[in-house]
Amino acid sequence: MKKSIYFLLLALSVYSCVEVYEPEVGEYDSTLVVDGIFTDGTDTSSVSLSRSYAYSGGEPEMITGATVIIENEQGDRTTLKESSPGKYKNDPAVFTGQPGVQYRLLVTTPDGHQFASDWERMKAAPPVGDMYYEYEEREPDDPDLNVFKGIQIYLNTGDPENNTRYYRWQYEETYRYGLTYPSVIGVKFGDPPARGRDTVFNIPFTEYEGFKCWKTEESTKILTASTENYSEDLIEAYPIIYVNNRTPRLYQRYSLLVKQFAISQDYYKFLKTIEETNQTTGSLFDPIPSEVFGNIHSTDDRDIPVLGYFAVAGSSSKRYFVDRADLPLGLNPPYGPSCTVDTIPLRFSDLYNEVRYSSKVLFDYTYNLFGDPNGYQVTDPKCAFCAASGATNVEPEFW
Amino acid sequence: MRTVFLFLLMSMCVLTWLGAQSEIQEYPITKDYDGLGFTTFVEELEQQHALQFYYFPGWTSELKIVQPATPTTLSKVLETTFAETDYHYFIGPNGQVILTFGSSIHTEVKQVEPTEINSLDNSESVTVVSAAEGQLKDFETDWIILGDPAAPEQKPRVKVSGYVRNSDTDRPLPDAIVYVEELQSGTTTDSLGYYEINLPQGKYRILYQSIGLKETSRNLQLFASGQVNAALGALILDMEEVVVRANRQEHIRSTQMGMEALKTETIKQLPALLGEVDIVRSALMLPGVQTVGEFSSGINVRGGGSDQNLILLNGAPIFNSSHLFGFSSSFSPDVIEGFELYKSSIPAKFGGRISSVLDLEMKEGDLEDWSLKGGISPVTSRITVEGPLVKDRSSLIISGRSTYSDWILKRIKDASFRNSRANYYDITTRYKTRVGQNDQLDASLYFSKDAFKLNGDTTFGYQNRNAVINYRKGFGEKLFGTFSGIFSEYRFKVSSEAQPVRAFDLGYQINHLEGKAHFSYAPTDKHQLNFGAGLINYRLDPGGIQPNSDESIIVPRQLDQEKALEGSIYLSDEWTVSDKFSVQAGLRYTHYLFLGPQKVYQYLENAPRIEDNIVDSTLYSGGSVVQNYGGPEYRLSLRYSLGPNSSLKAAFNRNRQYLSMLFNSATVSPTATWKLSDSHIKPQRGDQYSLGFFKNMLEDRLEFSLEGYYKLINNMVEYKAGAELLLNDHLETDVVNGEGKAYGIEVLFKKNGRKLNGWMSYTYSKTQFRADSPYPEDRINQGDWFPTNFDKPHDFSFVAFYRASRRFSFSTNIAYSTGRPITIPVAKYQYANGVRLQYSRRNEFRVPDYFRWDLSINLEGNHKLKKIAHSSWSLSLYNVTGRQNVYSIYFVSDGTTARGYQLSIFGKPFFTLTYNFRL
Repeated sequence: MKKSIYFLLLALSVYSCVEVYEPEVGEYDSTLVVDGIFTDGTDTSSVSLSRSYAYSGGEPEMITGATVIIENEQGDRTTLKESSPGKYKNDPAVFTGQPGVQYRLLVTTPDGHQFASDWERMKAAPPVGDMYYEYEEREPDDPDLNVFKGIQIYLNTGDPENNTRYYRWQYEETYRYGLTYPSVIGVKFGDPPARGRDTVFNIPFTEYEGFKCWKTEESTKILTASTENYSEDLIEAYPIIYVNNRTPRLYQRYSLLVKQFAISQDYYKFLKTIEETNQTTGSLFDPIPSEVFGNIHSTDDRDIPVLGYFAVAGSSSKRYFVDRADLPLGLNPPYGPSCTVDTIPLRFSDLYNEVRYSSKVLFDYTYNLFGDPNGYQVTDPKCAFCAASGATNVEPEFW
Repeated sequence: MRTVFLFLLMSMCVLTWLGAQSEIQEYPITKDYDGLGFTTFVEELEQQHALQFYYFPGWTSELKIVQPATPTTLSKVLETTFAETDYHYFIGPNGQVILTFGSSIHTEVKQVEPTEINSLDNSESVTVVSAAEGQLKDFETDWIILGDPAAPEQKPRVKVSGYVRNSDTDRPLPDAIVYVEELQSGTTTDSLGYYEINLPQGKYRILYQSIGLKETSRNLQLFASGQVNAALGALILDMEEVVVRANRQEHIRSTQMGMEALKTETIKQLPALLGEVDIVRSALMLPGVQTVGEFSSGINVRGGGSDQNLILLNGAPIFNSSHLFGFSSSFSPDVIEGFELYKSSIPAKFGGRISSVLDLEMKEGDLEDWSLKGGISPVTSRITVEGPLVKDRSSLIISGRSTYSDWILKRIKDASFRNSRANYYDITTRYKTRVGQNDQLDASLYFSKDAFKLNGDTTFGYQNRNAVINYRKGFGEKLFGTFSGIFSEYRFKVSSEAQPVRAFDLGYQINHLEGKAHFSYAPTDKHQLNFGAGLINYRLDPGGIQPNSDESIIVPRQLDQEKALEGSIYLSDEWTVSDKFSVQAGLRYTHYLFLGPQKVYQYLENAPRIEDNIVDSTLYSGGSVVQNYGGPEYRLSLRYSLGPNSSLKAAFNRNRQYLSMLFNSATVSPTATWKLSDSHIKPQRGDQYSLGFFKNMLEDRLEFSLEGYYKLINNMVEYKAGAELLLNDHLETDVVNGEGKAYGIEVLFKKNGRKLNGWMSYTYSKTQFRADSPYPEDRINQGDWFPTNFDKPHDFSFVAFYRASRRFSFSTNIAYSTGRPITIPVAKYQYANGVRLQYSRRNEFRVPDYFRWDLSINLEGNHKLKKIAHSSWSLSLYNVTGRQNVYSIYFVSDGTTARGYQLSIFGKPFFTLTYNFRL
């Protein structure tokens, strides 16, 4: 509701224009960021430590070598192990989250500063409810474009015991699609490339990518809901994700893993504020953004600010599949990406130019009537290799 | 001629001609004055004899004395001197020598019957030395003598009273200025056109002025109390010129400072975007008035919050003064006469908001004829009907306006707009009638409503309702009282039907019911007293949420109603201490009671006020006093004349405010709510010190003013990050208490000309806020001072109107200001699988400076009086240079990328054509 109202003001901006704005920011305080969640699940607990980085670019600086401890109200502690730089993992076999118990995080950074989170009590997460989709058309912002066709996946969930009230979801999309032109030959350029040093070779069957790719993507959006104003702890038709038919997701088969967290009210408020300050609309009715601080404080020197939150939540998950064959008729997604194939003469200099400068990949020869190669065929990388789109050709276990 | 004749009947009811010429005392002349200038002659004679000459100095500059012989007598010299001229003389028994032009002084006594319009008390002798009835050619140069020069009244001071009317309509002229030039003081007429002023015996030139009318003057010689009436004729098509001129003398002579007035006639000439003449927004062109952004509701006056302005429509407060979330103000220009904006030295009769009073004056219906007028712009159409219910006694005006703005929404490049609908309308009506001779009854109704359907499934609407009844009564000639009953209500409602299980209605409402009595009393001409008392009953429904379908599982929830009483008494005196010095001193005392039933939370002592620190709650029963606040409010203004054309003024003002608006956005958001002061949220208090220098130049054609101010505000509230606005029964945990500080200098040049009018202003100001506390939760920017959202240090406006001919006029305005402060990200960080933004300290950055130039051309139809319909066209060009002023800068992080955008509204020149008609 709020957002719609805010949007309406922009309605007046018939003659408005939006341009990209690059702030000229000089100094900033590189601040410690704690991104931690501790659950009763087996693979969902982790704590990441990093520092904020310049607006103009760069990568987060991960904090390695910190001591990261999770403590429960009885005083039992476990020290997390750094699984990758800045990412600390709990061993669920040693220390498991128990609903009803309070936990907190203790961090000592390599420079000796100490931080602690507030205590949070773990709530048991109810199982993820039913998912379903509906065919939906969406109007693009530009009225001259065609409408989007796609499916909106909804979630019905809730807690019959009315205890959860605050929810957060994360999802993992996995989808399978086929390669239009799987590579059967490859090229190795010499250094410097020259006749005799460059070779075209057949890709061995063991390395052959085949036709099938699986791609997995994690949600980057923060999905939350609360039922605090409802008589029942019931969430109906929560829109998890809209999948339109212009993405490769619906080419063959689509799967959605939804992780549900039963979170605290404080964490819910925190996430809401993060959302508000990161998704402003440009209306003057937007809340004035400000730094959002969570439940982590410095214990030796109260003035060091810390971004992020250590959340304690019960978790549950559920996987959902959508097959192409089940899609509504009107949707009719394409079978694969649009791929162009160029044929070039069987000359190495031409192949070199095409592959080096036009970002094309070699995937096969052309053959004459006698079955002899008389040219090269090149195409876009995504049409020939799974890896070019960040996908894998290994079928996941759950498939 | 008819007018002049009528005037005579009215202004001189009893004409008593002076005694016979034969009784004139002779004064011997022994010196030879032949050929001497008349003025020199008079000066010498006045020194030698007990003589006093009365004449208009302009007459005699060319006149030379013709002296037949020496010695001779005064009468003979005057006779020969005036022989070939139209001058006449009269020598009174006490040595008064009175010169007249065009007519001699008669010696008969002639009675004129009192007319209906002017029922004078016959016992009061009004003596006029002048021409015979109908021959008085020039009121402005002839002398009117009140009383008998031979037998002046015993009292040193006499009373001049009278009636001022509009000679074209014969209607009384209220609030006309009656100004005594020699004393540099004056008064104004009451609502029925009567005035009264006490003056020492002597001779004076009195000026009569009223808005939109040609000024006139009378030359008086006072020996006794009496009556002098005046009639002012219209200055046809000179409206904008006279509007400015009306306050010319006020500018340097009143104690009032920090006050700006604009008439709708002037506002209508300003270039208007989409043809919408915006009464409230026009104030932005005045010094010291700012806003956060174009098309945002709310103005900021001298560094005050947008909730600190008391917007009054015929005396009733308006809680939401804008349509379409700030697109236009919610008052139709056809029914508003104009406004007065008090930025400082707020009169004691006003109270309740600490920054300013924007007093909108509603138009009165015509007492003579019925008329219909209207206008069509691309967004709205409007219509107004007015006329007499009983001719010359009671009038009615009804005005309505409605929009057809949907077409705009359909052109938006965003799907959710195209499915939205927006509608608004407003209706205003006023009835006014005379009761008996001196009293009047005035009632008005106002209704405005906005309704939206957003994205097809959510409706949002808000409305203002207002009713005012005023009864004005005269108690004798010195005391007037106005008794008012005022009702004002604002409410909004949101309904969602997006999902049956989550369908809900959410409502908010505030009611203001007020009764007050105001008196003005002028015991002598040196004092003007105003006093009165009032009581306001507030009832506020902070809101509730209700399921609106059977399937909905929304839990109905209703917050406790808030009730409060605000009582006030006040007394102020405008005291003219001497010609040079005058004081306006006022004291207002307000007391506020926050009433039960109410639940009040107690918080842990010495700890931040957060939800976790609630230790207990107290329940107050209905009618019991939960909390009371109160205190005096001082209003003091001083004026000291530095010369005939300049003055120095100083003022101190204190105001208290028991009602504040809570919102956590840059400007007033649609769902912003008013909140009554309670046990935790204390009333705001504002103190303002101001100093000003005022000067008129080029014979009042150029006005100059320089004003400086310093303002402190206590108990201002500001939202914490992530604060919950709606349905929060412990708002105190979501706000921080702070203090505000503002100071600035305003320079204004105003040009009042026949063809060219306008003004130019420059303001330098700073507005800051500080929220400090021992607890980090209750601090903003570590407890340091920081600029508010509307801190725009440099502000320049230029407004000019040029009338090329009777039918063709042209206007332009230029606005420049420093960009407003904003909070933007300075860094990014990784959280919850995505890129998030780390923001700077609050308001550390600014948007680029604002600049806009507008033009407009008005074309009137021909001016034949007998024409059936009068029409006018106006063409406006908004943002001539097409500068893309930055409306807002915003950032969107979709998890994988974070990007900043700047939005400009109307970043291109924009034409609008508007048509207006009058039947």
